[in-house]
Amino acid sequence: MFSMATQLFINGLAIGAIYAMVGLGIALIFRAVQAVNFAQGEFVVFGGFFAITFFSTIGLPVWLSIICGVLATMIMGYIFQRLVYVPLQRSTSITIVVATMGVSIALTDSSRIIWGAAPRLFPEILGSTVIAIGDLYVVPQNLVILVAALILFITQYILFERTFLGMQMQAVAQDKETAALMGIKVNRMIAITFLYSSGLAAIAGILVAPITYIWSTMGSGLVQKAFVATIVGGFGSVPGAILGGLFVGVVETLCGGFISSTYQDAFAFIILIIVLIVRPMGFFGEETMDKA
Amino acid sequence: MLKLEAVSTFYGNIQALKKISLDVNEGEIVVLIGANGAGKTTTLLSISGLIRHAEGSIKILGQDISKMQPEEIVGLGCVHVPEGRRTFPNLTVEENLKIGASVLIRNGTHMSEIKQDVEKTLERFPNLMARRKKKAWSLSGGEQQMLAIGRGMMARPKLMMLDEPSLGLAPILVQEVFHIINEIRQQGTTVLLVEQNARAALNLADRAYVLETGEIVHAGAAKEILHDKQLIDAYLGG
Ligand SMILES: Nc1ncnc2c1ncn2[C@@H]1O[C@H](COP(=O)(O)OP(=O)(O)OP(=O)(O)O)[C@@H](O)[C@H]1O
Ligand SMILES: [Mg+2]
Repeated sequence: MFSMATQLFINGLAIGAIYAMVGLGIALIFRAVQAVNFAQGEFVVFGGFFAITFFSTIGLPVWLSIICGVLATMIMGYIFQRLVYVPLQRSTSITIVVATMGVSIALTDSSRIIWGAAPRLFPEILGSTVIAIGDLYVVPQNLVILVAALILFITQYILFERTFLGMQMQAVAQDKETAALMGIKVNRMIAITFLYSSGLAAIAGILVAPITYIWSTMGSGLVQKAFVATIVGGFGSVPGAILGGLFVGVVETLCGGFISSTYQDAFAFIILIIVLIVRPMGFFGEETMDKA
Repeated sequence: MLKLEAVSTFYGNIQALKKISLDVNEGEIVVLIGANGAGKTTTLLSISGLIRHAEGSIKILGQDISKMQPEEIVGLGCVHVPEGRRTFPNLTVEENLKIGASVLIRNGTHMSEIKQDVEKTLERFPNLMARRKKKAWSLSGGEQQMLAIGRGMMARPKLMMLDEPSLGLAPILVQEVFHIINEIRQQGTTVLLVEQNARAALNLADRAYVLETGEIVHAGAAKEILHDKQLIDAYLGG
């Protein structure tokens, strides 16, 4: 019983880290442009498929495939920003949000046309031999996900909180006009945000691919979970997106294991409803309150 | 230093500036006064490039800025301290000051030099020194105004434009703000000041322009306008 709980907890943390990466991308873009990017899930899908293509079709080594997959997705994120966000930047947020929904649908279908409808696999980075720690059995890929997430979140913290570039990005998120008056290149900061967020999504796709596979329509489901995670954590908050993601991942996996695996996906939304009733602003909500 | 010739600016169909011309010479304090909605803020926004003017020319140090982005205009040494303070609420006092130097950092000034500037600015504003690690949202209105001015100084401007820096401040702080503006000029920075507090501003300034519904209706030496009872009654509410 205890070891099953621990094992489910680790699995939950791993899937939660994936939600956190996707949610973080949504939160960062939301802070920068005040619009939710519904195409974020498709960047996960493309990231996964790009890496698979570099590995299986082109035959690059695993590590190089991962790097190329991430870079290709970042280029896509940049183009997305230029073609969708920049022309609409003077429109209302709702216009931008609807545009991202349209792109999301177009990208889903494109990925099915390019890679087919069947789920595809990317190799596990540390192989598939289950590691036994006492009577605990851990899937190595889960460890890879957790270590990668930890490194990413620490790097991001340093980048955003400790560098001048990060400070400028925060200034842009808080007040674009004044940021421009300070001599900050606002559009460049927004472009960097899209680059970074699409890179995060690609890493999430590549990390999750060995566990859940990658298929063309998986993006919308992931975005839903990531969205729940960011709301639970406090919408627009960076630590909120991370902790919200881990929380949703752990709770839904535990509930799935102990209560009903059939309804595993429903638990995320039950958590959402409970959190919205008990604490409508989410765990780290205050920060977004004073920006509204 | 700054020259506007027949500048018109629109918000959609509404013409907020109607062919206004004005100039500011090096070393001067020039004040722009007028009632609410006269177009004072619009004038500054047109100069700093946040709004595109439709007609006329705006030159800073002889350079036409019509096609320049706001961040390039700051690069010419023209800094705009906006209406309503607009400090970055979730950055600390120190970070707000550093952000003010973005344009210098972009042009290759070393961070250690910027840090020295931050210290100098904090020494000038003891209230801010005591709160240097606090987020800007937690400051009082007066402290935020000082931060906004200090942040503007961080760019080492040749021309500083301030939009109603005394708005909503207690009388003693209003005096302090005008004192600082005078200091800024003495350090060699030219000042274009927008003020509702006409008397205090006219006392400080060399020259003044009076703006009414988007048109310049009077221009002259500040002292002259200050003693022109008719003008004061008509445009400045006594
Ligand atoms: N964003 C906007 N959209 C439409 N009209 C605007 C906008 N901003 C200002 N205006 C109009 O342009 C005119 C000039 O406004 P401006 O803000 O420049 O006046 P001001 O002299 O700065 O006034 P105040 O003393 O109240 O700050 C006003 O009639 C105002 O209603
Ligand atoms: Mg104004």
